Amino acid sequence: MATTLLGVTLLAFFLIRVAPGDPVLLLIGERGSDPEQYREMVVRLGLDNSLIVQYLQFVVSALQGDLGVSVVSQQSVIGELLARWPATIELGVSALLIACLLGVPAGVIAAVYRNSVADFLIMSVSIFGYSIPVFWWGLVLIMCFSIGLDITPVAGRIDILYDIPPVTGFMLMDTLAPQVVQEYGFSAFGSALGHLVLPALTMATIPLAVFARTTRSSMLEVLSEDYVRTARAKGLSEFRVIWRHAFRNALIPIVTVGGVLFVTTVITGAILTETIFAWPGVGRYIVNSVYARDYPVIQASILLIGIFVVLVNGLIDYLYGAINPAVGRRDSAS
Amino acid sequence: MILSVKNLSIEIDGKPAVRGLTFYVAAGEVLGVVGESGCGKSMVNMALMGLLPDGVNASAEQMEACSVDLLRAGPRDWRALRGGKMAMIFQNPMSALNPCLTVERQLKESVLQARTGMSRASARAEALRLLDRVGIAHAGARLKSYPHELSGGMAQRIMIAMAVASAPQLMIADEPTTALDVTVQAQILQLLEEIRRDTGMALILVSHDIGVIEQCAHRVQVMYSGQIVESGDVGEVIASPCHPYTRGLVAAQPGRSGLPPKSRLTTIDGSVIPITEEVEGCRFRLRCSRTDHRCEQPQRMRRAAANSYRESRCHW
Repeated sequence: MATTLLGVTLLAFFLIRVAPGDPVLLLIGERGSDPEQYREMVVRLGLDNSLIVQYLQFVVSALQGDLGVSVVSQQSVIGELLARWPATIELGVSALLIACLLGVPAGVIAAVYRNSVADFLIMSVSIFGYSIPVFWWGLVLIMCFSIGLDITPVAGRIDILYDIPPVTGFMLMDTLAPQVVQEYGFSAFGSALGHLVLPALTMATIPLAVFARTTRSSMLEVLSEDYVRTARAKGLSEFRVIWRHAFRNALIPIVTVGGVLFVTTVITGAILTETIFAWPGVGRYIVNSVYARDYPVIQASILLIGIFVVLVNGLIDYLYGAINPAVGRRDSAS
Repeated sequence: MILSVKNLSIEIDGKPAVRGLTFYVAAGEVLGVVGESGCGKSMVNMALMGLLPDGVNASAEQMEACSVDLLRAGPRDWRALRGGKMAMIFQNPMSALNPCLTVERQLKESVLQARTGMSRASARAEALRLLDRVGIAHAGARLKSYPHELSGGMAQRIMIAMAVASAPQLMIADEPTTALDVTVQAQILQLLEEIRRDTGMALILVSHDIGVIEQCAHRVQVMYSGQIVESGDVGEVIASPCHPYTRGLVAAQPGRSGLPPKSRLTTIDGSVIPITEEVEGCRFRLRCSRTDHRCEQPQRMRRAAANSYRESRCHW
């Protein structure tokens, strides 16, 4: 885990410096033509040190929990990121939940009735969903539901009418806080939910397709296992055979994919979706920081994402053991 | 008669595989079914349990088990039959148990299937009793085990416990000892015999090991390439086989051929014809040491002796 994160810091640090663009020029703008001012800024940002020294400074202060100060806002990077993190998680979890709740049963149905019309339909739709470019799909949804039908808002997390004090940072929870409910009733919650629907749907599309396909192939494999035959030979109903005996064994690949999807939807999905829907999360923050060549923010974000990926993988390993005791045992033995 | 089957044929993707099987099982008897791998034994078992996979279809003139007409049974009847009067155990007990569920859950499931409405506590007590019945020590601790924590013999005992939970009238044991050590094999066979004697259930014991059949069965039927080639009392068939294939099987047993120790084992030349392949005349003809023009005609089962129910699919 430590090695992985060290690699992440290396990548985060050097990749952004290899990319074209000069943060100093972007920061002082046209006045950068004044060499005196330019030099002053370089020194202030610590960019006059050698790359190695800069890197070591970054790693040492990161180890101390200090990820630096944003060049643009002069605020602590960690504070800015943590403030945006709940919005990203809220969106990512909602999207994954939608994908899971629709995709997994669809995959099971496709497997159980394989080669049927239902199977064909589910697989066709999932291929389509998998192939859609997210940015285009988001815009299409906005055009249909926000502009055409006018039933969902276009952007943001909640109407500007509401003043919600951030407690957890999760809008769905904060709008249910007692004082908010006292002031606005449940309309604030409704507004937050309404704002969440389209971005979550946009983000859910690809994971939904992947869930359906993975579930189908995993179920097909499990359905031909001996213990499924045993379950049938016991006289169990087909429903029990499928959900109790087969599905549980089919879960391992689904959980693996779910973990990977969680990371990819929350991160890459967030970057696109948050930009389209002006969702104030980490994704949009990263995009803006890249435009501004805000080195500390980019480095810190990538590091934080790295930590997040490692944590999710750990969680998934733990889930394996909970699903299939045989796997859990093998893991702990090794 | 617990089971009577007349002219059972099974097709795989439209190609005939099992051809015109006629046999019966009487209450409380052990019918041994012997034959090489791929001769259709398991497929017949699956047809009897209504568990044939997609693309495999069975048809018959008559198929009746435990007074239920299997040809007319709907999904509900099949389920009632499987969790009730009929039960089955399989070749590889380790893969036949669900790796994600404890022994307790799998066993209680069988118990509750047979007796709906039973309380959880009494289902557990019944599960314990069943484990005890199949000779598993420390039954209480074993209930909490997962299949990967069991030995093969123990797993097969648990399969047997699940199968007898509904007090079946007919149990089909499909190569129940093939995947087990020889010592464990004997214990499992003995356990099956004990249970049969106690409960009076009938048993179809399928094996490719004629020694196992000889030890346990009352009657035997020998299958070759989708057909029954010989049937009769197990002692008579093994003492004086009528069909050349049976003769080959018996002679292939080490220690029975009369050859001195350490000499080469006797084998049957050639290999079994793929079950879906069409053959003119006797299906064993190509491997048989004694053929004439009559072998080119399809062979039917003939009575081998006037005062016996022995039959053989050979004209000699």
